[in-house]
Amino acid sequence: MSTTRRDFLSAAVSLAGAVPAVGAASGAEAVHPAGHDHSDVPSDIALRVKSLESLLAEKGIVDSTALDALVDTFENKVGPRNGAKVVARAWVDPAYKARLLANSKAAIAELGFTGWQDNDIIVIDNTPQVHNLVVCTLCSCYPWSLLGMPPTWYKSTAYRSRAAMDPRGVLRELGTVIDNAVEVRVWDSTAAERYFVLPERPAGTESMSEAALVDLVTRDSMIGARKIALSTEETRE
Amino acid sequence: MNGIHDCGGMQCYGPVVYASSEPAFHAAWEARVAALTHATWYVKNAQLPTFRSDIEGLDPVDYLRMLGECAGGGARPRRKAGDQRRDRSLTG
Repeated sequence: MSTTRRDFLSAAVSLAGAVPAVGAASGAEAVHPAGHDHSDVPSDIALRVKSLESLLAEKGIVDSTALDALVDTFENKVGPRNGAKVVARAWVDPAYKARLLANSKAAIAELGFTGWQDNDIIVIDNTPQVHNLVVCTLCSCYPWSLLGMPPTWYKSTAYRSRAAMDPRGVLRELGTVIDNAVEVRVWDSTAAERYFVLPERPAGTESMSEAALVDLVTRDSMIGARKIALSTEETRE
Repeated sequence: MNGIHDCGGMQCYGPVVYASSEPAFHAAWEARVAALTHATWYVKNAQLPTFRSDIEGLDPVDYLRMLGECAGGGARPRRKAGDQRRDRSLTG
């Protein structure tokens, strides 16, 4: 049979007089080549995912409500803001920092952040002498409960393949130049151990509150990809 | 296990393309796949811990397509003798 699934769906939608769904879609599903006969039929990958979810729900293996809750967690409850709170606390409370470096998972749990996977989190401290960079050369292991979903560049083979071999070169591509006098250490994550960088507290922030410090901490500083830069306004505070 | 996934040290992928921020998911289906992966991981991997070996057993081209490194996007389901065993683990 020469009729493809897409042909069939396109014909079915045309017959039904469906109005193309425009505006709500975002990202890859909203992007179509010029002239492509499109938006009333989801992309192949979107159809495949819908089919998979329907099949698994039909078999009683997953519950769509539970999937909604997981998506809400990924999008709204985990993310770099959690990690930033850990960093800011460590900056203002030396006893907390000591606990964080000695038993990271327990200290992070003190702030209410607990992972849902059976893995450990190890916090590594950036100092004037040592800069740390985290990678997962085998896939995309990442401290999700503290940083949320890993960014695309972290998962890319370009990053994974060269972060350990040429960390200074990779850091330059990320916009970070590390002085040759500073040692660079690369931490290769595993399923069992996730690494989290405690960035250096920027000079000039001594009078800032813990809450204000949280706003300074970026996702990439907690991977070791970037240093924290103060804006002119923050420097004046 | 050697394979395309073990890319540390490879020099063929070019410079890192960096973005300082991006949404958690770039399309709705990505979010559903992440949720499905987590939800089924506990079901499937507890019975038959093959999650890692399944990834490492992907055809190299499919693996790169899965990562968006090749045109096409999304790996083809790989079928070979023995896969029924995995299917059964999903159907419980």
